[in-house]
Amino acid sequence: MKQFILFFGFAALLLGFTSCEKEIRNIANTEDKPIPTDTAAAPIEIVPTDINEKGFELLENIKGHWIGTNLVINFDYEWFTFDYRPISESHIHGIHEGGTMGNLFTSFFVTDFKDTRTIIARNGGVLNGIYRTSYFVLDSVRNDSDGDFYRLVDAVGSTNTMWMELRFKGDSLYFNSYTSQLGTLFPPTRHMTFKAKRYNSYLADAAAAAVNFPQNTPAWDFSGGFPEEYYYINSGDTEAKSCSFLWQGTEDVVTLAALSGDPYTISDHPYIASLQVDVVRNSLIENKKLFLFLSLESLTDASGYLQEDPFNSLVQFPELIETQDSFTFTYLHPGDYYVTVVADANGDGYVSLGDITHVSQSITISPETNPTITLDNITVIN
Amino acid sequence: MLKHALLILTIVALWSCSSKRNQLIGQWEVNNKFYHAIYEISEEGENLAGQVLYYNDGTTSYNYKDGAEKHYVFKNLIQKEERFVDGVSGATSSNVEQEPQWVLEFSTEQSLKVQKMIMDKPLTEYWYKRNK
Repeated sequence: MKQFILFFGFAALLLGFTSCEKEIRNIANTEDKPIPTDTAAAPIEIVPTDINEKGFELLENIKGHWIGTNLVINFDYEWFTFDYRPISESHIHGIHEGGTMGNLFTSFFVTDFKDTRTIIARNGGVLNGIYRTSYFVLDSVRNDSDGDFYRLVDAVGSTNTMWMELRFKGDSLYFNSYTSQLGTLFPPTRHMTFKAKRYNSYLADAAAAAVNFPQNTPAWDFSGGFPEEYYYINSGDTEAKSCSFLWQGTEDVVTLAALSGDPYTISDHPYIASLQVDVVRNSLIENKKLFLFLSLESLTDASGYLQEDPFNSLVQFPELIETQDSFTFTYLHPGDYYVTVVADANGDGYVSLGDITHVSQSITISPETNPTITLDNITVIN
Repeated sequence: MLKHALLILTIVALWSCSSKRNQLIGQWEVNNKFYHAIYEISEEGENLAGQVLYYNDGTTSYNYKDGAEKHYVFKNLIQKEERFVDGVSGATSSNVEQEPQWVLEFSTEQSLKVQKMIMDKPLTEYWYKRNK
């Protein structure tokens, strides 16, 4: 049962790249690229890496179901996962669905920017009604005995504002982000530290075969730059410090995206699907927090009791507050899944003895579909 | 008699403060599952500074070389009773004292419990004295 205990405190992660650890200075050895110092924030010219020369293999390297640990701000997730699969011939996507609080995604795609064929990352999500998307440009690549290293910097503020670094060596991934609350704190400092192993790649390989990935062709067009008139500008500033698009409201994600001015939104993503999960509450689970699991294997036996071993097959694990009965997985990779809900009957905040489940339900998600599944008879006391 | 006792207590207190401050001087290492670093705490005038000698978080790595620009995690560490603190910005406009950005206290003679504030949330880690 111990392995069932996952750590879900998600709010910190969902703050995403908008905040930072204040005291660890960035001291990256990133060739000759500029890095922030303790005292200056002079503008940095962004020079995209030409992936015709190097760096294209990032798309191949990130493929897979990664499982590891994650330190986000001050929260230590002892178990965490990102599931990266291609969604087009030159675009690969991964998302973490946190549940009631929101979600966080980062995708990588081929594009033209500043007259250069390069890779841009799109990072963001929705947190408590705040829609944010930020764009990062590949500006540093190293391939040496330490593995393959990539840095992607904020497309406006570069390392003065925020950036992400990825290093691949063997089956290991080191994925860090450094942030500054969209340029309000200087210098940016380490925000997320995800260290993981590739748990499997067959799902990503299957998706790659389906969409003819990877190809060195632009997924989206940034040859004309970004719509600067929609950049988010910090209070008190006169110009943007980040290539970020924000909007706050109670509308759905499609509407929020349009209002933010985000040049590409969820509607522009090919191949992905969504899944709405409706939970029928009964007297046993009324007003209980719900852990919702999307997994590659059934989490329960035929009687509905939780099993330990399949938990590493989780790809999403949102958490729903006591009053929420429905949740929609967005940006969902098509495929075969099991859906399981666990009611936190004992209220300890973890999946543990005494919690209430049901028999995991299987579902096949086809590309560009939006099915609904209903979970009922959640009555098995573990 | 009372004067003597107070004098002794004062001397002991001063000695204790000085002793802890002296113990803090030197190289400290943190090596947890998220990063590995070596810091050198030294006196910078009245205060204590923590210079980064080594840092590796999996993607960013750094080795200080003599003569190169120095990087610090804190520069103005001061002793407050049993703790050493830095980054105290004082009272806010609402007159509520803010938490220091760094708090160091000995957990043993050879280890420090280090708390740093991130987004106003404390992250605790342990640093261990390096034997040269």
